Amino acid sequence: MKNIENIRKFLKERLQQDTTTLYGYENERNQVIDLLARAANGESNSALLVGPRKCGKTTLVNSAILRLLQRESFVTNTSIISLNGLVHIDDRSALKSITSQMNLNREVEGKVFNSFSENLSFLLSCLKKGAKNQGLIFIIEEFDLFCAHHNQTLLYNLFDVAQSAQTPICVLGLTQRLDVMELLEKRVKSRFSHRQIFLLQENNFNDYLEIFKKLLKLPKPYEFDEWKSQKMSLEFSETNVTKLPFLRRIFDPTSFNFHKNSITEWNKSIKKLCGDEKMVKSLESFFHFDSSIASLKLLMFQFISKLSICNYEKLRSSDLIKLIERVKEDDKVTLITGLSVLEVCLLIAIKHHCDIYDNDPFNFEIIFTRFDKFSVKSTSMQNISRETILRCFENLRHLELIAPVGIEGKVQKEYQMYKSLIFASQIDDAVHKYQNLPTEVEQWAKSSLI
Amino acid sequence: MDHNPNVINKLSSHISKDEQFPNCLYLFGHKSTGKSVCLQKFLKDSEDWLCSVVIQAAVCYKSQILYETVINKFFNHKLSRDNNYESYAKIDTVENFLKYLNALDPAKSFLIAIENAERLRDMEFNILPILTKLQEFTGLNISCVLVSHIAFSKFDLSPMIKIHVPDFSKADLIAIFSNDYESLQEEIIADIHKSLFNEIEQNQQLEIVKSLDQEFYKNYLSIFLNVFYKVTRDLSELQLLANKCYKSYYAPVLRREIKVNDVTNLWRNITKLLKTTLNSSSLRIQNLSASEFDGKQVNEDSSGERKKNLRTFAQTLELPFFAKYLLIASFLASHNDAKFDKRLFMKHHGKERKRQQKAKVSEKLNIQFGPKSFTIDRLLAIFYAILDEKVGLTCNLLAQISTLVDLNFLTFSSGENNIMEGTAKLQSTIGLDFAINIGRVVGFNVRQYLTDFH
Repeated sequence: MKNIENIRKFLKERLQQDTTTLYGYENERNQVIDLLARAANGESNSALLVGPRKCGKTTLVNSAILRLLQRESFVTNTSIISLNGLVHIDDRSALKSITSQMNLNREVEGKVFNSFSENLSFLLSCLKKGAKNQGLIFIIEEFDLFCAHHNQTLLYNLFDVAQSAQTPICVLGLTQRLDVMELLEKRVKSRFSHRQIFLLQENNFNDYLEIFKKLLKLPKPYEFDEWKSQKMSLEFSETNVTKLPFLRRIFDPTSFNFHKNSITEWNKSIKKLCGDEKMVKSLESFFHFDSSIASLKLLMFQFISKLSICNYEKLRSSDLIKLIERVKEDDKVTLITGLSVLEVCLLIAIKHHCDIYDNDPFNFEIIFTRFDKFSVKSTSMQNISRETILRCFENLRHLELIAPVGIEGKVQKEYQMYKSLIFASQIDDAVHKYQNLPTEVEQWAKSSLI
Repeated sequence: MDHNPNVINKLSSHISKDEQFPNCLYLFGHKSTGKSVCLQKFLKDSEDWLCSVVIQAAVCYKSQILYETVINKFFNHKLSRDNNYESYAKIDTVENFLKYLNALDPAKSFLIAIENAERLRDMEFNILPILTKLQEFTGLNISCVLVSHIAFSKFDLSPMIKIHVPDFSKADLIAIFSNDYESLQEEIIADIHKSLFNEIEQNQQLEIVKSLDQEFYKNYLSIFLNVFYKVTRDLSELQLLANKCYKSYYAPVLRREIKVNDVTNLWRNITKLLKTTLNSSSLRIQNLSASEFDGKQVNEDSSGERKKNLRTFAQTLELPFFAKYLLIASFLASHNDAKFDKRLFMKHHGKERKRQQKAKVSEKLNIQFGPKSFTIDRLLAIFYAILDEKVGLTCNLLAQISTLVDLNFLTFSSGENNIMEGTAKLQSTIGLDFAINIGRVVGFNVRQYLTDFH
């Protein structure tokens, strides 16, 4: 039993903490490694890494840096500065952070700078004085957010330094916006090297399945040994780069100890699990739904969490199938099935209205009239007062299933115009799933004729 | 029973001792389905190995409060007189916040729970993305639970693990409400002691109270839910109403008019009250006055009367005769197009031009789109047209317009200060039903003068 807990802990930790193992993108990674290594040799450069959210941009950079940290020449010749658009919300805070990451707080103390560039060039000159020809690497995450800063001063200065080859400096921006070039000001754009690396998702289910298997299996004993040697080489470089956030919590499999037999036994059970055709098919449907590695990891985290609950010794394929079903569910539909019958009736009225008037906006009066026509004929929904219905209508708004159009508060609330934020198909779906819905309501949902 | 063991299990399987936490969890479900209760139970159970803080997003009107509450809790810093109620540190930026988080002991585990998380969307843009990626920024074993009642897609965030808290079924509700049984029983006994001084009578009633068992209460609950469940599933609202209506359910039993096990008669007795409660209160809690639910007085007569009163609020409204006409005139002015005035209100409006008979495609009515504004001149013209008698245009009459404005039956839509110039515009605020009822009092058919119903 203790063994299972250990395995679970290992798998969970690997999923969450292993931010340096990259799947795919071999070429792109080599490109980045090449770029960064040149900075160590005294060459300036700038590049942008563009890819959709959660596609592995940060992981790619992390793994590239980790690879480079094993080279002694790189470690001694460069220092890495990481900035994040979410954290450094203006250029001043960014500069402050740069100063402290370069360990130059003491030098700057008491100095007054007239301009941003003066400050930056002072920092760089300080670095030059430090004898060695040190290259600087700027990793800028959420690059697009820096474009919103006043005059784009930071970006301008960084690119300017990179272009004029004063100090070897490499600027690597990470962003999810494809149109990031449009955000740059003209003077900034002209100083940028226009090197963009796009991360496109490779859609290959076989690779995907391999990753799935790999993430579930325990590593073989010899792999543990490999890690150990890698760890040794990293310890050597720890003096320089401990500031990097991802290195603070690097995944360390060497802290785990598994018995040889338990490893083979577990891996056997995983092999058996992956032989289940039904499960593979279900996984494939999930792959078509969302093929990113990040969401696969999320799914697997939930899957592995199942290990404890009922003292299962093994992972069960049926759990994964159920999980995939649940992940694919539509939240809005789930929420609608939890509403009261009256609220569902109002949604149906809204659906019919949108259907007939081609998504015209509606107000409470219109929906009320439509519902009233139905309720007079119905047996179960009679004699409900207008105020009660108005309240349910407001509840729909509260749930953000409908949203007001135009300026609010100008008219009485009954006449405030709304637009629907859900599709007719979602309502149909919910009506289908709703338990104990009166038959007449169900029929009304199918046809607006009463 | 209030908490759902399934949800707690899920929480604890994702966030368990000595293991890596997920980046972020999204706990969602309708209001009063026990989201917070589940979370609190879970946090209490794992108190000794998990350092957690629960934050009400509604309280955080600025981000500083959020940051400082978290840091105070994590550094075990309590606000007291000794430290002058100052927090651990002044933290007003995300950068600072992360700096302090980084100073925490990496061997411990941390959890930040945020209730009403949807409100964070209105705060600074970077708060939500950072909270969902705290592990990446701090290197701690830290997680964040967002609690909300809306769908996850309403947040612009990268995917995370979602846990849905299902709403209560009828059976769940009955089981939860049955917890109140004991206290209700005591309440009844206390009531009897208070209201009856005749000892024999008292003893007899106490005897009957004993026979009101759980089953009796459950029967009542299922009758109650049959009426209310289709309208709302809000537990707290239902609970309040159920407890209040219970009095009228058992009252006839105490009076020995209906036997304890005579379910049909009990149902017949209560069902009318339940229906009126459903409508008259419109489920607004403040509308329920205690006297309305005084079980002894509620019988068929009074409940029927109340219902009638409700319908005839318009008829009991104390307004001068002309003011009522003004009110109707304003309603007509607000809901008719000015171009139809001539046809509607003049006796000799000439022959109506034969319009092309439009097929009645449109179901849309003018009254559905709210009142339009009108000038005082038009209001008076309509007023004189619908009134049979001749009255002078006195200041008394004009004063009644301002009375109606004071009573909020009319509002100014523009030009409030230019009444004398005649550019001021008014709107009627009353609804069709109300107008029709007023019309009935003064003997005037409102519908006849609305273009919608021609």
